[in-house]
Amino acid sequence: MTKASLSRATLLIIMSVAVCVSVAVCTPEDRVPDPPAREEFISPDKTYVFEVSTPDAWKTRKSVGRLFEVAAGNRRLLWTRQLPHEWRPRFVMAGARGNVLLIDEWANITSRYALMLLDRENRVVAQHDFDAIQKVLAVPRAQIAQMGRHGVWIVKPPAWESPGSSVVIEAAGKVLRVNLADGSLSLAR
Amino acid sequence: MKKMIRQSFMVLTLLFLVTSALPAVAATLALTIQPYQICDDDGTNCANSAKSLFEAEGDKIWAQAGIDLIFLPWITQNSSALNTLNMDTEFGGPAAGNIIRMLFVETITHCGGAGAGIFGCGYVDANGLAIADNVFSFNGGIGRLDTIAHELGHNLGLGHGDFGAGGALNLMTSGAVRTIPSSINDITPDGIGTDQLTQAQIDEATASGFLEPVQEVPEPASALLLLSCLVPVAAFWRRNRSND
Repeated sequence: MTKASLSRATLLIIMSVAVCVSVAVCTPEDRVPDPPAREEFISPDKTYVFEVSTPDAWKTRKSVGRLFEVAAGNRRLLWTRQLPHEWRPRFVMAGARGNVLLIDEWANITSRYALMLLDRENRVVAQHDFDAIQKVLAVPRAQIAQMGRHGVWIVKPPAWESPGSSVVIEAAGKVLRVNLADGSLSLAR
Repeated sequence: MKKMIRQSFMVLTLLFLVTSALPAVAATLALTIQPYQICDDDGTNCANSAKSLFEAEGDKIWAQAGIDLIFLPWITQNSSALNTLNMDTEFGGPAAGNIIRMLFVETITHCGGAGAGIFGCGYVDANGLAIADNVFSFNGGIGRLDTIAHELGHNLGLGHGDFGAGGALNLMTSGAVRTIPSSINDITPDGIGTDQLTQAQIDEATASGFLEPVQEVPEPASALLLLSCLVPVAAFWRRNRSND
């Protein structure tokens, strides 16, 4: 590195620091990073694939869900619907019978769509808001939020209790069980 | 002796009435804000058409620091350049006295750096903030209730990661992590307890030169209550004096 390029580099660093120190330029924004433009969720037996994607690069903060059935390596579209979530669901679990569990929202809010279960025929089987989750957990709202690590209430990403038929989600020091047949909630422990 | 007891009783009653007429929790500092509704050059596409300020939410949040938000009457300004803040346009600028310039614009796509979907942008420890229209469509139309309070926090000298910010329930934590209240009932000290301020944040914010001491004026209802109680006390006093 020559002396001239060294002094140029020094000057650049000084200028960058000056720019950041200048309060008129340092303007932190309130912004939520966008989710991936497209993501697929595959059922444990690989029979169903649920795809979540944005039709407009998240301009409207809305997503579209598509359920595919997989047979002999080919995908057949079963249904498409716009999802009501802010951006999209935070987690998705695709079940063995084509049931799809949409969990929480990408936005960190006390969601109206904390849990939403759709079936193979595109019907809403069950929908639970944050208050319903709190009722089952039976702990104060503040305690749930204090322990939440993925959004407001989820401590650990959801997992299969019984692959394809029931999901467990850790929240507020307890484990919530969701039955994928009817969307009913109970405490696993 | 009897007279002394009677007079002491009356003085104590008077003191009680005067103190009970004062507000229970009083803000000690005021932050005055001038809201601007920005429209395009031709006067169309005005931002924040409902002129929402989320004032109750902001007041509840900043009450933690004893700060009252005072909004001046709206000013409408036509400027397409400001309405779509797509460069690091200087929007703070000088203000009259300590009045904060709050611009409501259609979109912000640049705030210190380029980025899509920016809700708000505020200068740190300096005047000026901008709020985009997506704040009002957030959460199914409930709105991003704490963005205005968050950006004001920047003006008062608070950043995303200093003075104890960083947790999901802290007002100044970045939008990627912060939990947003769905109603005023979830703002601290209630509900899930969003938008908390640490003591270090309160100390820093309350040292800001933008704040002015609040002149407490008793509310009309309190003043009437006080008056209605003072009249009988005065009458009682007068009767006692004439009896003496």
